[in-house]
Amino acid sequence: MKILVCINNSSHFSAGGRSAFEFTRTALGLGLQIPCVFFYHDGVLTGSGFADTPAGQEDLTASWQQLAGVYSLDLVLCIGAALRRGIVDEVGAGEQQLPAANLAPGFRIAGLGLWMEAVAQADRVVRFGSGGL
Amino acid sequence: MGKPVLRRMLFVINQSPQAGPAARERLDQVLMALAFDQEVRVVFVADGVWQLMSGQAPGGFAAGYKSLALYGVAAVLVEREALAERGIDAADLLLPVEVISRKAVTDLMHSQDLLL
Repeated sequence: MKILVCINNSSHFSAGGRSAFEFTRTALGLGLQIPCVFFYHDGVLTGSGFADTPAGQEDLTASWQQLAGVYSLDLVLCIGAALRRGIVDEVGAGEQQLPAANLAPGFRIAGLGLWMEAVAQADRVVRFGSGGL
Repeated sequence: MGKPVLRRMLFVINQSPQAGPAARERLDQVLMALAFDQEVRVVFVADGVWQLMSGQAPGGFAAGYKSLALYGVAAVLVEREALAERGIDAADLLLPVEVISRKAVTDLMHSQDLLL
C-alpha cells in the first residue's frame, strides 16, 4: 500500500508536525511504502535549515533528515508555499538574487503538479494539520 | 499511459482572507486538481464565506474564484448557516454559488474520496 503523507502544519509551532513524523516513522517501520512526504502551507517551515531549535526540544528537521537517510524518503516542499515563507533552494536563491539558500539538506522543492501526481498514485492520502483552515 | 485516476475531491475553506495565505494556497490545489481533470468541489464554511464577498480591496483572489467554473469545477458551495451567522446574503457574493445546509455539507464530506 502506497501512502502519501501531507503535512500542513509546522513542527516548530504546532503538535501536528510531530504527529506526522511519528506516523511516518511507524508506518515505514511496519514496511508500508511512503513514496513522498509533501509539505504545504506552514508545513514548509520544517524544511528551513535556518530555524533554531531551543535547548531541550527535539529538532524535528534533523529527525526528518535522519529518517529520510534511512528510508530514502522524498521530502518535498511546495514551491509556492516555500517562496511565500522565505524558504529557497540554491536554484531559487540564484534566480531571485538572494544572499543565501536556506533549504535544509535532504529536502527538495517542487510544484503542486508533483503533489497531484503523488495523489493519483497513492492508495491512501494521510493529511496532518489543516494549515490553519 | 493508463487512464488517469479520477477522484472526488472536496476542498474546504473556513478562514477569511485576513487569516493568512492558507485559503489562497488551498485554491491553488483546487486549480491543480482541475488541471488533472479530477472531480472537484469547493465548499466555504465558517469564516471562509468572507473569501467570496464582493467589493473587497484589490489584491485578493477574486479572479481565481471566478475562474473555477471556467476550469470545470463540479460545484462551488456555501454553507447556509455560515452566511446567516455573519449576516451575509448570497447576492453579496462575487459569484453565483450553491447554498447548502450544514447537514448537507457533512453528508457531502462522507461521499468524497478525498477531503482537503
